[in-house]
Amino acid sequence: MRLKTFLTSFFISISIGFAQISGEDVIAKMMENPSPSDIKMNFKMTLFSNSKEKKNKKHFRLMEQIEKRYQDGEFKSKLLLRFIEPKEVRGLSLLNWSRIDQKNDDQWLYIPKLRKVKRIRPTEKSRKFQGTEFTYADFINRDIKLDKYTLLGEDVFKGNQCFLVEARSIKPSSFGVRIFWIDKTYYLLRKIQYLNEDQENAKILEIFDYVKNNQYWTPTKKIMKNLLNGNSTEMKVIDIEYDQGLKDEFFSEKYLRRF
Amino acid sequence: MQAQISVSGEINPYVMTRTTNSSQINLPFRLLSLDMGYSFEQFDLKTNTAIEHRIKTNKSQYDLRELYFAFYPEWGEVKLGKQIHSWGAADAINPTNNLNPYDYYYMFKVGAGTKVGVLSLSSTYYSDSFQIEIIVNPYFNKNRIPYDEDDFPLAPDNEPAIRYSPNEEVEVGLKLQTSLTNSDISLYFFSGNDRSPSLYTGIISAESSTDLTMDLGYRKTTMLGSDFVTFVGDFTVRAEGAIYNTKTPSIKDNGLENNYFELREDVLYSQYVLQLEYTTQNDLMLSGQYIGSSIIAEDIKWLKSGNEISSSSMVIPEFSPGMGTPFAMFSDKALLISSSGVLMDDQIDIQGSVMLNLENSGSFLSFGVGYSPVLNWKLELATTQFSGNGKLQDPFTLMEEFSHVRIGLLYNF
Repeated sequence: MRLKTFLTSFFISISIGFAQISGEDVIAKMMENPSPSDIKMNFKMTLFSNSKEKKNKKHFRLMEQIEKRYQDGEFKSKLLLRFIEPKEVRGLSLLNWSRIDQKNDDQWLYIPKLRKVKRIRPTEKSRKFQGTEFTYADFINRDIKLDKYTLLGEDVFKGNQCFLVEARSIKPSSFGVRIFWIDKTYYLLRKIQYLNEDQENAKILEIFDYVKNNQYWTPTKKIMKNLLNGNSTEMKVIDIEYDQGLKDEFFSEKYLRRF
Repeated sequence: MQAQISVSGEINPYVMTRTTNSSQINLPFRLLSLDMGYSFEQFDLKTNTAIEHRIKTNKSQYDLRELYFAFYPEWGEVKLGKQIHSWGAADAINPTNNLNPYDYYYMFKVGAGTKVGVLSLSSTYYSDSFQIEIIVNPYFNKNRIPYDEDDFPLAPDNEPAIRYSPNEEVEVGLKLQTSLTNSDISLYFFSGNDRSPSLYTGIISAESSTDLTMDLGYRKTTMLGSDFVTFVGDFTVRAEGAIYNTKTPSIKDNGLENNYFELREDVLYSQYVLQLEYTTQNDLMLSGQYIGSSIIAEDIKWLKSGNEISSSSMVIPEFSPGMGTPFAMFSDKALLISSSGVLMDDQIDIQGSVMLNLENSGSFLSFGVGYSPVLNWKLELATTQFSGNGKLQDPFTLMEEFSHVRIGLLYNF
């Protein structure tokens, strides 16, 4: 409750000083950053546990991701995630077709041991991604039209002057409330604070490094901290390629099986 | 695209100890499984080999389980070689999945591990809204059944001599799959030969009229099947069923003398699975399967010189399916409840399942834990317990002495 009161008064006080630029404006500027039509990426996710017994133990997953984004048509994006490590689940792959209407995402899972592509229920986007502190939502681009944005003020994150923008889902959704730290120089997302239904700080995503590949900014290292259980997951990009002209057929059952 | 070579596999030694008297169960197991692949542009070459080992005799046997070439044109895929196909939407128990024979040594495993690879040509055409798959097996292939295995209670004593080979070896399978809003539906057709043998003729000895020799063969069977996947609230529904029409072909055996009887079977039977699954917020997967089989119509008779003889002269044997899921031999109606989940950042995985015979008392319980202290290494502990109704012919009763604890080590590379 104290946090809620604090945030409310904080929002009011700073919104007066930034009447000239709105939250929507900041988000729009952020979206103006060039976005690739497709991405091919290998990344490593390292899980850090907060428990005393496992303090020094780290677990990691190596994954391959390909994503294609659409400008028109019925699809917003298509995504294929494939496990490389641990070896026991090597080849386990998830295919997601995200539609414009956001209602009927389609998901399939390929299980190499079964040699089967299983149509699966579109995962609740708030569910944890394969035991990490990231959720499925963190891998699927959310339509900016689905949230209402309010400029809260400014803050400094890792030496970067940032706008603070609150994103609140217009319709009831598992996304709840998020606060974005967007830097004032390049309009890059630097940090996200996730508030749960009780308006408690539930998670924080910190983006440490950006590298500019051609015209695209790539976040190469992110850490998601769960503030409720103390666990965290680091996501590091190993290599990334843009605009490779990935064909539609790569996001199909055929390619899902081809492992 | 650059050429890629991939090598992966697992080493999985384990021992199975009977719970009744702590003796070791001496059955072969796959000590090593090795997958190798070579990919270049639209082409793949894939192999899957295994080393099967038997601890008691310390003998190993090499098994080339798959070796096939795959071509991926824009419209779909074409595969040629020894391969394992996988049909059906339900988990583990698939009445439609008859393209490959079963390996009964591994009938309690899941997925491709339970099957025997067969030489086949398969092709799949993909469009936006549907896919068509056609598979041709040029040669007949039979189930691998453990004969004369003291440690496998369902094993027949001796491998029977098969007098009658299938008249037509070529087998054809066809699958049509389409997606509707939030659901998938598939139709299947398969025309082939039974995977397990059945009685064809009885020959009365010239010396004694009571001395009857039974000869076996593989019936011709046609299957029509369907499966359906949809989502209802937080639940996933998977339904799969198949209807089989099996017929004993007429005997054309000039080597037979006149004193033989011909068993002519023409049976329509079905197998089906209705599966309901739910995943909790903690990623615990719960699944319930209602498994059933039934005879829809049967016409079984003994013929002598083409004429039917009365059932009082020759006993009509009970029909035994030669195709379909092996679990049908356990019960005509059963409920299988399974769950699986992970703990401690995926270091521990837990699996459990219970099968209840809904027709007679009888059950099968399986529980397993895997602990992975180091990446790619896992210690496995599992137990399987059978409980029957006490009757000697009841498969659950027969399997009671197979109840065991399994301890193993799994290394993935």
